[in-house]
Amino acid sequence: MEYNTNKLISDSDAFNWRNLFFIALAGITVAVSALHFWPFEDSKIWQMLNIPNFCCGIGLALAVVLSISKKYRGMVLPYMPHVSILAYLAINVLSISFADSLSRPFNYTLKLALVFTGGLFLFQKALSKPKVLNLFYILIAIAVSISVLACIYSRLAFDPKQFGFHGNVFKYGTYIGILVPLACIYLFCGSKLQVLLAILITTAGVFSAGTAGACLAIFAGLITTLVLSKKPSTRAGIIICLLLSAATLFLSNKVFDNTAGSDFALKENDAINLRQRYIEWQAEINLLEKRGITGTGAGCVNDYRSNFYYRLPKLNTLKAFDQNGFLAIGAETGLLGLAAFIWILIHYARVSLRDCLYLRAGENPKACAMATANTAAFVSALTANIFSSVHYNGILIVFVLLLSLISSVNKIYAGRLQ
Amino acid sequence: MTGSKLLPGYRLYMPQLLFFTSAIILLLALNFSRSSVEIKRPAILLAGSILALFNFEKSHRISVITKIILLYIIEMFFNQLSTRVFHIRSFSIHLSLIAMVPLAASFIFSKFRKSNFSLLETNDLLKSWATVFTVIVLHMLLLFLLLKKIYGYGYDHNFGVLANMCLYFLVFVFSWQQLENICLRRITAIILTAFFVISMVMGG
Repeated sequence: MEYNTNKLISDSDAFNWRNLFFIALAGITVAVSALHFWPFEDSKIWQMLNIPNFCCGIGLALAVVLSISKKYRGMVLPYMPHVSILAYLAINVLSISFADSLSRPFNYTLKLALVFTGGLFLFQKALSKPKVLNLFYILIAIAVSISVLACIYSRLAFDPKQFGFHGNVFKYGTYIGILVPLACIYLFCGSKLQVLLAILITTAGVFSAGTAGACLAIFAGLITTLVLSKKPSTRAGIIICLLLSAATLFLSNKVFDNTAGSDFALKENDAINLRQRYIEWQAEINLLEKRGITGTGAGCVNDYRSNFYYRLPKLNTLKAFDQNGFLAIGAETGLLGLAAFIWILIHYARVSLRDCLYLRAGENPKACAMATANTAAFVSALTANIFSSVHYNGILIVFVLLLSLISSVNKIYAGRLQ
Repeated sequence: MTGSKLLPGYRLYMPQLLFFTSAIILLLALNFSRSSVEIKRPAILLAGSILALFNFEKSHRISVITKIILLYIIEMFFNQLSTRVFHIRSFSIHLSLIAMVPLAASFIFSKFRKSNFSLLETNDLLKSWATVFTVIVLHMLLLFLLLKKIYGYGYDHNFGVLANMCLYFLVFVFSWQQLENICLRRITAIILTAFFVISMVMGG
């Protein structure tokens, strides 16, 4: 089938060794993201310089080198991050002025800059062809399947509180919460085998999730597709997926000692007091009263939050990363930082939604499926960000991958609607 | 709108310039002796102010970033004043409101030029205020639902957060579109640079 692609992108960039290098680098980043920090989980150096972050670093270095050269500058300019991303990074840098220590906010901001600029350039450069785009959705499906299978195996065989390569329940939840809808909704437009695979991945994802955030994110993605999709077969598939996922959720509660159920209930173990999650949220709101603009400094909310509890939980059932991504950004970089982050979200949401409405399934089913999958995954990312954060180290790359997919689909198929 | 143009093409009016400059100077004067949140590394803010001194009109992205840097620093100084109160007999006035008055005046004397920030409609005064109040009411509603209904045990503290959000939002409305003016941006950057240099020299 011939696709109606944007000539500006597809004709000027012929396949050559340079493109293949970017595709290989981006492919490694996506595939390795499933392993998270494995096999050196406890190494601080590895947490900063793991393979995805390292690939982003190479991407950033190449972008800088190419933009210096007059000959290749034109290659870099179309893949520059949107101004909202630069604004967000600038506010993160400014917020370092108020942090107690220098190393933590510096490392955090460096990681953000690396992934948001280097990662975005790398992915967008690699995803500049329709065939490569298709390949990457399949690659994402493989990566998320590995992650889900590893989680199910470790929870069933070893410990119900061990979540495969990701270890932490909230990190794992955010990872699959974004990628499961992204991969599955794309697969729904393929062959019958692909549809079956999509249903299997979704139900396995819900079965392994273990948190309210992950389950709600997956359901939010599916429901978004149900609303946006015009194909009756896709709608039918989504309804089957939703029913099976709901049934799997009950099964998961039986098998894994009500882990997901207790997270849904949002109560402490005595079932009377509220879960500490809300005390964390309240502390971040209290913090905003004193440090509304300054924040605590990028990545430093844990240094200050306990000073703003004002009341302590009766039972200490606090889990690490049990937070709200939006409030955490507000608490760390102030309300302007939060506004800049929301600016990023609004920009990409508009692009994605416009693509969804612009591309018609009858003319270009693959492109339409990609645009719908991107929009659904974007809604999932926003939902996951309420109960955890897309800014976790090792998870941010997935969020940036989603932004790159939105941007690439727009550039290739919708003729630069941005 | 009355007032003389200082530089053709920049649409800067004398009353606007005077009020905006006096607002910045007043803000810095009120912050000079003490601040509620300690600035640990003023060199970063100084670097931001110096960056805003240059004209990046050819690059739209950097131009927007410099505007955001200046807005951040201005809002930061309002943040420092938000907990400080000035007493006159039985009256008590927030210091941030004192600095807000000339900023609001400069906004009134400006031409209400259309802002590039598409989230906010500031073509005319009526629409600006309608937007401001809509956002404030939505904030109040959201916080009420979040804290009262979902939290269950009510709001721990007071509505200071909400008041601060309104304050910062007003600062944003009053200063954002005015910072589009390069001349005003440079004057602000010069004043801020001088302030940070002086405070670093005196502090160090």
